Amino acid sequence: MQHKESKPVESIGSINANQIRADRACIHCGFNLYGQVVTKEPHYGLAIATCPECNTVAALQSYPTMSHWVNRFRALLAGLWIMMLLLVFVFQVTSIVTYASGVSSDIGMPLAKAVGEAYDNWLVSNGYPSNKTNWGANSRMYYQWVSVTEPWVDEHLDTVIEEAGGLWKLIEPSSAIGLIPASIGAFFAGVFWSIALLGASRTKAALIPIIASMTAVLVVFGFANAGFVSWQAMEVARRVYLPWMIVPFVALSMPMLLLGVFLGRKIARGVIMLTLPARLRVPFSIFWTRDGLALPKPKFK
Amino acid sequence: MPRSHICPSCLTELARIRAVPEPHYRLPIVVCPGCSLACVRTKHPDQAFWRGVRRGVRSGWLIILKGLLLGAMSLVVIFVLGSTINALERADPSTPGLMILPSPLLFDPYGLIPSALLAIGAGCAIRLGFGHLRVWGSLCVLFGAIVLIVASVLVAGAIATVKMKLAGGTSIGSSWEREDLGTLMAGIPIVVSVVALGVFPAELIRAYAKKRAHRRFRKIRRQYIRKQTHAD
Repeated sequence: MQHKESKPVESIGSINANQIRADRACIHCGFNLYGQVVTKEPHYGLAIATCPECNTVAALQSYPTMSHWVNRFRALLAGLWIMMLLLVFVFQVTSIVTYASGVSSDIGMPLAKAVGEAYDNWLVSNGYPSNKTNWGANSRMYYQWVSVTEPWVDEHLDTVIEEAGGLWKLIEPSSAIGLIPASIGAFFAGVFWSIALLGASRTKAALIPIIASMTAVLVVFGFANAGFVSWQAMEVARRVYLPWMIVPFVALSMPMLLLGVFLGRKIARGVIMLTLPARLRVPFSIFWTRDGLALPKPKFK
Repeated sequence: MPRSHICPSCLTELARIRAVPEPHYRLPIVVCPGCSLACVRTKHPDQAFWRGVRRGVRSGWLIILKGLLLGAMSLVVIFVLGSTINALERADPSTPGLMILPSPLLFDPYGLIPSALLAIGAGCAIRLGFGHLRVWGSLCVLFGAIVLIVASVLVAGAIATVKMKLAGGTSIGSSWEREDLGTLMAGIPIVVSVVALGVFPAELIRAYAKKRAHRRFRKIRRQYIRKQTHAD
């Protein structure tokens, strides 16, 4: 658009009254229009200024057209946020599976010893050499680490478990205490989801970590043998106990998870109140407005 | 420099005139000095968006920094508490060592000066960092964080002990006795009062900073008035 017919208005008060005396970027080339003459265009009487660089006419009565980059940045930030939430979801599933796997390994230690010992006895009785003597001072650990073969496990594992008195009898009770740190972790996961999913109500926000826990259960049942490349006695015991462990593991950590979701926003509000003065709390006002609360007013000392 | 705001009636630049909220809708109104037209000052959406982002990032950083400050000062106070308990144990006449060695060799009051300075520094830093809270509030935040840290360590130790006992072993950690608890109870009030002393230098620093800011504000206002007078 070219500005052809314009005439400067009469100056008011001072000689620079009809000039731009502050920052205003040209909508076409971004040139700062500081110092340009403001005129009224003849057709509608609107205030305009002409860019000396590209000759584009800018209307001055409203702010210039909003840059597309704001919406692009908003979309980019939203996309990054969703990607981060997906990554946290995957991280939570992986953490549950990994931690349950570790607890299963600890719990299955007596079974691992029984399996290793039975396999070693089987080797000796069939005329194969035993490696136990090579372990020297660490021979107590030998049975857990002994490598067994897949066909032997398929053939003898049930017998070994029966002879040792069943799976319940073989559980190492001290390892069950590992469930306590898991519930603390579940609480913090609940707090995170409660804060991260501010767009949803608490009930809906609780669904995501519950789905993550259920996904972990499905992963364990669906891919119990995934990554099962090592046939050590300890791994065999872990494989036996992991499907047993995962359901009570998730069930025990669930109350703490839900508590975290319930208290998460309150905790966040408390942290904001403790750390920030009233003036700087404004960007986080959504933590109050989301739950229908008013942003607390400053208390003057 | 402010963003341009042109009067729609007489085209006067209004950017340098302060907008005041009108009483009915609280809209920021600028009255044109040329034609007396009241114009609403609207913020550009671009500007509002980026300002919101900047404020959010700044507040987020502040939360992180204050969390780090709180954690660091809690550890300092725990260290001071440990050294105080150690000193109190040495000063106890029932300590077997005192029967053999003269007490000044074991209990050195001057050795506590660095610890006391650290505790005062921690109190001062917390008061400066959490100045928006009341004095007792900022001290409560510090001691709450300390209780949380100590409780976490104790719970972790208790879990390990229970695990060891269930496994049929014995705990390798040192066992607490009644005397230890007594020394701890004696050490806590001493450390708390020394940390609370740090509030006084912090309040002095805050008062000085406030006075300086006020002086600066008055200077800027004087300059602005002088500029306006010259412009007229």
